[in-house]
Amino acid sequence: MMTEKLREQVSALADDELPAGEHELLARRFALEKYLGICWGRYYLIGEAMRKALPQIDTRNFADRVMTALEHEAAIIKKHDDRLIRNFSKTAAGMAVAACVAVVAILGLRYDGTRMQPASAPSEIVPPAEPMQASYISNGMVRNATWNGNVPQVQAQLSNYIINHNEISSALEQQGMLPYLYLTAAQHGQKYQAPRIPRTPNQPDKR
Amino acid sequence: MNSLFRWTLPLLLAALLIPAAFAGTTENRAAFWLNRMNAALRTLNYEGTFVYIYANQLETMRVTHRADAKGGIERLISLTGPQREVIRDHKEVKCILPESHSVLIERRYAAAHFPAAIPQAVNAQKLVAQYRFKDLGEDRIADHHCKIISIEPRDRYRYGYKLWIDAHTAMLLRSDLITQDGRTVERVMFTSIHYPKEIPNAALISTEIKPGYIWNIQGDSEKLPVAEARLAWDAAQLPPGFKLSLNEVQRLAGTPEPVRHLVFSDGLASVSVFAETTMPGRHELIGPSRMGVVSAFGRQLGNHNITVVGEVPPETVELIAQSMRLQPQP
Repeated sequence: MMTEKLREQVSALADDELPAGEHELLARRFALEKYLGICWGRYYLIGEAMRKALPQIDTRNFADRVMTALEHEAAIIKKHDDRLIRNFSKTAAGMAVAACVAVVAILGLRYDGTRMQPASAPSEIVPPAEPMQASYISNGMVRNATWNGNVPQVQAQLSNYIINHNEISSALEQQGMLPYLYLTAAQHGQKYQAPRIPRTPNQPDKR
Repeated sequence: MNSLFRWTLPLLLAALLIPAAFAGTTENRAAFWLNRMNAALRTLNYEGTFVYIYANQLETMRVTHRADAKGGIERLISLTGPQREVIRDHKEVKCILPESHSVLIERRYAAAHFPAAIPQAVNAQKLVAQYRFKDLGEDRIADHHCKIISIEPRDRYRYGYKLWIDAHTAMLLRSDLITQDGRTVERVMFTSIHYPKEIPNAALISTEIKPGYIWNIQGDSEKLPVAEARLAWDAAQLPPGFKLSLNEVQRLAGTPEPVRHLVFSDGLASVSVFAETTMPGRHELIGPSRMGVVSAFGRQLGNHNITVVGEVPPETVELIAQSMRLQPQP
């Protein structure tokens, strides 16, 4: 059952306003509750629409979808509306909400929450390499965002290695950008500790 | 940064897949789309927001890419969690970490290779021996009509991919990392994307770098001491299809001494081996570790520490780490 607080949290996440300390807990709920993924997708699209960041859309069956969405999403819209009005006070709230709902409805909620479910469904996101999971799971949460089980010095060194690996691999036409995603998305509340060796001048940005 | 997500994977993938090397129609179709994707990632300007889902975590990020003849400039920003940025220009990769008031800079090795389209040393037949290519039809992502191509690993030593490629622009809009048994271990998907004709410089410059930040800069390549240079590193056993593709000495950002760096690749997946002289009092990785789907394994060999990293299953880095040998050269 989705509580108001949970709705608020999901909505805040979609608006990038969720406090860092709440990220991990919410991520766990995402894994357990199918509806959250769908809900997040809706909120996100609503936010994007209010920021006018969505692409042009097909307007077939526009009215029907708007009505359907309005029936089911009144509470969501109200909460989201409040937050977005705070953030985008220049927006004409009523029109924007209608537009958002329309967008969500027309897009058919492409962000399919069922694909984010844990456990055994074939299409879900699961931690890789089951034989090694035991040592990686802490309180039911796979600690994937930072190098697990190591002191900060080792984590920093590993991150350095993976940056270098990624660059070399790119030069060799292998591998991708993904390691940067890991670094950028490191575990909430956990600081990246830069290696301590090098020079420390206040170097200006070269650009 | 390379074209985002496996934004470089595509480079790799597409470049690797020379249509003539494939006999079947499915493989030809896959190669066609991957080559289109390769070109799109290098030549398009794009700005977009995407979600990145792994295990139980979900992150939102924004990417801006400006194409040019020198290899392009990209900026990746986290929209959730700690403020972090990665900016990759023609010369370097700059990781900006405001929460630790630091900037980490690595050279951009790939710059010299842009805009070369097709790598010279890739054997497409070898790739087909390790991966199975499929045309999975069509779908829609962020309101864009997409073609779905899958690259399935034939064993447990590597991951495969499902790629959603925009039918119009050939841009990669979604990428799923999959295991041999078809499980998705990670997903990156655009929720919005557009293709501006021009991207101003301001969109590619960090506003987060402040006075007082610590700058960690990778040094130039260096020579090892003579005794160290005479040591020959190799692997007694590698996963099927993996071969040595690089062996050089580097000075990495944040490391006090030059490091021996070997890269093993199957043509798609790659694994790096870093060997450093053991330093008293310094913490080193011993055993396995993981960050997202990047696996690492460390062990001590004589007076050296070996660390193996790569976007491969844990057993792959462990196998390679345990297989590393050190032999004096005559």
